[in-house]
Amino acid sequence: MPRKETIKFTIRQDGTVDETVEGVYGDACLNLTEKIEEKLGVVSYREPTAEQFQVVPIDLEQNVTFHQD
Amino acid sequence: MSHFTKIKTSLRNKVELLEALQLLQYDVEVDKNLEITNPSHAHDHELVRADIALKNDIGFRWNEEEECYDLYADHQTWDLDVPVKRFVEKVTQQYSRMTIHNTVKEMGFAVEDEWEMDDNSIELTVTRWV
Repeated sequence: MPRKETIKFTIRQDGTVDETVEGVYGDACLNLTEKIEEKLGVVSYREPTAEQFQVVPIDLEQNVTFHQD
Repeated sequence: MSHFTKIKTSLRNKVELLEALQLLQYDVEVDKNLEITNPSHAHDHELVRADIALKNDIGFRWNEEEECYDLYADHQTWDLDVPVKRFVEKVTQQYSRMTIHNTVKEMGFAVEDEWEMDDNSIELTVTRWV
């Protein structure tokens, strides 16, 4: 099932950037923004949130259609 | 929410720095010698080769040690529309914006929202489906 990944940026008046990642689980979250952070400058603060400690959810539900002849 | 990060931006990439200056509607020239027009300083300073010049005596030059662009200018002859500090802030903000735009595009994200807020900050939201 497709999953939406969202990154929200607040670019402050002095150019510093606050970045929040949503919809990404575990270490993939850090890997995702590594490239952006590397290009921008120096990370001065990072706060892991609950989702970062979760593993990727396994989709147990499937849509099944029954066909009757 | 997965993580929250605070990043202090430094001017590292020429492409985005040029884009930022052009967005702010400054005429720029690349690889130009800056002229020291202030007579009291002209004899004391070596000629500065700017990687990006805005005027004859304002420019940016790559700093090998710090790995970022430094602003070269003379406070006494500074005649842009904003003070030096505010100029650096405005350039850095637009540089951050262009760096984010260009990088997230490469990563397959699309801009969902972009707003300039009352406190002069920019709110930018990007998304992708995986």
